[in-house]
Amino acid sequence: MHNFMGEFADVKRNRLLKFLRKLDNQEGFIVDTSGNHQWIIKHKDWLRPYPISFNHNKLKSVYVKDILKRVSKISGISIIELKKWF
Amino acid sequence: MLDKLSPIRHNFRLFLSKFKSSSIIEEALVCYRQKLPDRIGVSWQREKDGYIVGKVIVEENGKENYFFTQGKNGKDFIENVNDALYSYYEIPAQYISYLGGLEKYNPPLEDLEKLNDKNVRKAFIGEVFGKKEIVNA
Repeated sequence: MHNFMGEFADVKRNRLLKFLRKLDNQEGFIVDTSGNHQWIIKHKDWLRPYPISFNHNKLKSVYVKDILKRVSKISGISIIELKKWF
Repeated sequence: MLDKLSPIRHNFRLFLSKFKSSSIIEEALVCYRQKLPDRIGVSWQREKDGYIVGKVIVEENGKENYFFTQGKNGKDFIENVNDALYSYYEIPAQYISYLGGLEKYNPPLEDLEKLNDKNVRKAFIGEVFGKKEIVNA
C-alpha cells in the first residue's frame, strides 16, 4: 500500500474492504454502504461521515492518504499500524 | 457470505429497491433538500492513469470541510461527487432521484470542458464561500 519511498500508493478495492471491515470493529467507528456506490465511515466524534467510492477497482493514493490521516487522528492509531490492515 | 460492506450486496439491494414502491415522506424530503449546500467547491487533478481525483469542499455553519472522491472520466467524476455528497449528508438512496439525482451539482460548461480535456492536469471549480456562482445546484 506504500512504495519504498514511504509514500502512499493506490489501493485495490478488495484490500480497502479488508481495511474497512477491521475499522468497523474498532470502538467508535461504524462503516456501512450508502448512496449508489459509496462506503461511509462514521465516527462518534465526527459531525459528518466520510464517503468512499467503491465503483472502481482501485482507490487513488491521494484519497487513501486522506482517509488514513483522518482515521489516525481520531483513533490515535498510527498510520504505520493502519497500513498493516490492508 | 456477503457482509454489510459487500458492494455486490449493496448493488443487489439497490436493484431490488427499484421494483418496490419506496415510501417518500414529504417532510423528510424538504429537510434533506435544505441539508444540501447551495454550492460546493471542487479542486481536482488528473492522474497518469487518467483517473480524476477531486477534493470536494463544503461550507457548513461557517466552517469549511472537505472529502475526496474520484472518477474514471469527467462524467464518472461528477456522478461520484454527487453520490458522495448525498452520502456525506446521510441522505437515503430512495430520496436521491427526488433531490436532483447524480447530476444535481454540475460544473459550468467551461469547467466541464476542462474535466473532459485530457491535456488539463488540474483545476479548481468554484469558490466555497460564494464569491461567484460555482457548481450549480
